[in-house]
Amino acid sequence: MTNPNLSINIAGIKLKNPVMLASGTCGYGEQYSELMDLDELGAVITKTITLHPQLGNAPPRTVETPSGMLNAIGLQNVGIEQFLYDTFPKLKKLTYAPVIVSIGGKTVQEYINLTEILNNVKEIAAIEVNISCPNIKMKNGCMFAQDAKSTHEVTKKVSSLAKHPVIVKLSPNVTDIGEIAKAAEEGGADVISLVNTFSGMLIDIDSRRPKLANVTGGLSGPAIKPLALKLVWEAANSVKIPVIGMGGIMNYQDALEYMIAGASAVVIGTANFIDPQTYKKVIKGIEQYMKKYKVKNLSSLIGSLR
Amino acid sequence: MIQTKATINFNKKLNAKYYQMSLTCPSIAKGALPGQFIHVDVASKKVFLRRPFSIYKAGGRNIEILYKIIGAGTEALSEKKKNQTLDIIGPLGNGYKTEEINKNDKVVLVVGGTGIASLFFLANRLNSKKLFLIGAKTKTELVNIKELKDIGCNVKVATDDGSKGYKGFVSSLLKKTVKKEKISYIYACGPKPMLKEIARISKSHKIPCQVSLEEHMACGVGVCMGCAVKIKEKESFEYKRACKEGPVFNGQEVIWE
Ligand SMILES: Cc1cc2nc3c(=O)[nH]c(=O)nc-3n(C[C@H](O)[C@H](O)[C@H](O)COP(=O)(O)OP(=O)(O)OC[C@H]3O[C@@H](n4cnc5c(N)ncnc54)[C@H](O)[C@@H]3O)c2cc1C
Ligand SMILES: Cc1cc2nc3c(=O)[nH]c(=O)nc-3n(C[C@H](O)[C@H](O)[C@H](O)COP(=O)(O)O)c2cc1C
Ligand code: FES
Repeated sequence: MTNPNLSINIAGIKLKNPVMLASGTCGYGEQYSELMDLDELGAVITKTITLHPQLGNAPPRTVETPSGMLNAIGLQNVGIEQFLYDTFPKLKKLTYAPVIVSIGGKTVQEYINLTEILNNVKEIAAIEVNISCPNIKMKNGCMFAQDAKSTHEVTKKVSSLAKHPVIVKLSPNVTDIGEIAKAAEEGGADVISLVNTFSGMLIDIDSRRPKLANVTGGLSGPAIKPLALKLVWEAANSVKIPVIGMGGIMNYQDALEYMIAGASAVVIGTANFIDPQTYKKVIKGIEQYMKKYKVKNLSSLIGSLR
Repeated sequence: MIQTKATINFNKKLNAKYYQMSLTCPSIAKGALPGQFIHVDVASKKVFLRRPFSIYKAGGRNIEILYKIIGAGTEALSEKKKNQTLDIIGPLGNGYKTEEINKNDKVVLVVGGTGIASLFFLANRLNSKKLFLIGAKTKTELVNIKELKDIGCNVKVATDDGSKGYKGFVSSLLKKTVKKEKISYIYACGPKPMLKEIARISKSHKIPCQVSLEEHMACGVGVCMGCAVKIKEKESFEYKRACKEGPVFNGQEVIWE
């Protein structure tokens, strides 16, 4: 059999394979360019950028959990100005892989401003609208992604302005993911991605204090995989637009589960911290699986759950 | 920084809790500097993330680490055998700065617990006069003191229970020392409360001081922003990464909480 074709076009985002690095788990490529061949990736998704620089939360910001970790980084980042002036040009020099820029805000207006600023930057493959960070909340204490109306509103504003494809990143901390996914689709999202982290906490019983200074944080890693997989499957069944799946992917088998459940591409997050070579093993594993089962194109794999 | 599979040459038990391990990894051994660390996948089902360990020795094709069992990760490490391999990333972080140190200077290195690892490496590379102050709970916790003497350190010990040397905290021993002698530089590695006290002493005696901080780490390479340390910045502060800008910081720049 000829080599299987791993390339895929997701709403105009051309990927040479369906494997990307998750926002917040690869920085801006600088460090991992020493350990990975970033060119081999389907895409790189940057750490979420906000309109203004963010100091981030007090430490401790991370803690290990059984088969995973909690984080409450608090979106520490340099802000969009410095990002465009310095960080992004550097990243573009490090890789030919498409760069997807993740944006986050506290108000709809901040998302609008960020979208308008990024409209001037041609080299961006897409923007990922992070409306699901447990650390950015609206006035009522919820994330945008926890409410269908807010999801619809942000998506609509951003999609109508954006010159780049728009990926809306959803939260798993919801009662009905299908409803939220549809709200994003109706708002004009080109793609949805999920999941962001699950809210969680841990307590130190000796001091009776929370293990994270922020008290709560977001759970990621293999601990969340079955939960996340089910949400991706539900979301994929609720919308017609492509879905990007993530949550606890540690190997190619995990990645294939997401694709069979309906994900057009997969994202590797926390696994990078354990083994920066995970991406390579996942790409290779998908290719070998396709050979074994004589799958010529990813499209006959995506959503092929029997 | 590189990621490599390193072969274990030995994994030696030093006392009830302390171990010393040698690993073959020429590419890391070559460029490693005192204060830098490696991020180790201990390959155990009981732990998820990698674990950071200071480089204790580096020479030729090998590096060594010195560690204490405090949980599942270090426990798993202690069970590793000769000729097994470990996936490690390193050398990581910024080491101790030594440009200001001259041959005739008297430098004090202060350690608590496993802090001895990174400061042994530093002492080995310094050709000034070296006073090494070690703090421990009790005398049975003290390890590899002879090695320190062999590399020309004057070693003094403080134990909480007085079972060896000075009875009390190693920071009190430092205080007595700086009152008596002219010290040109202080390096310290150990638990945070100890480092905080040392930074305070160094400030009041106007002696420059570098400290190495053992923060909780996830990625270890600078991508996750998980290992934040509060550092003075103009009138305010900012969070720096212990794994990237650190783990060694100027003691007066750290905002101790
Ligand atoms: C740059 C750096 C260099 C280090 N060098 C050495 C070294 O040379 N030798 C050595 O023995 N250890 C060193 N450490 C500490 C070492 O990484 C931890 O002991 C190890 O990660 C513990 O893993 P564990 O699974 O055994 O314990 P865990 O189960 O992870 O932890 C056991 C207990 O210790 C606490 N703990 C764990 N890590 C830390 C930490 N970094 N700071 C404060 N509390 C902590 C946990 O909260 C928990 O209560 C270093 C750490 C850093 C960041
Ligand atoms: C340390 C850390 C930081 C993260 N930062 C962001 C972020 O800035 N923006 C975002 O959209 N997601 C962020 N995430 C979430 C991941 O992108 C991903 O959605 C989540 O971790 C689930 O995938 P995983 O289990 O493979 O890690 C972060 C996750 C971790 C662990
Ligand atoms: S541990 Fe990830 S940035 Fe330092």
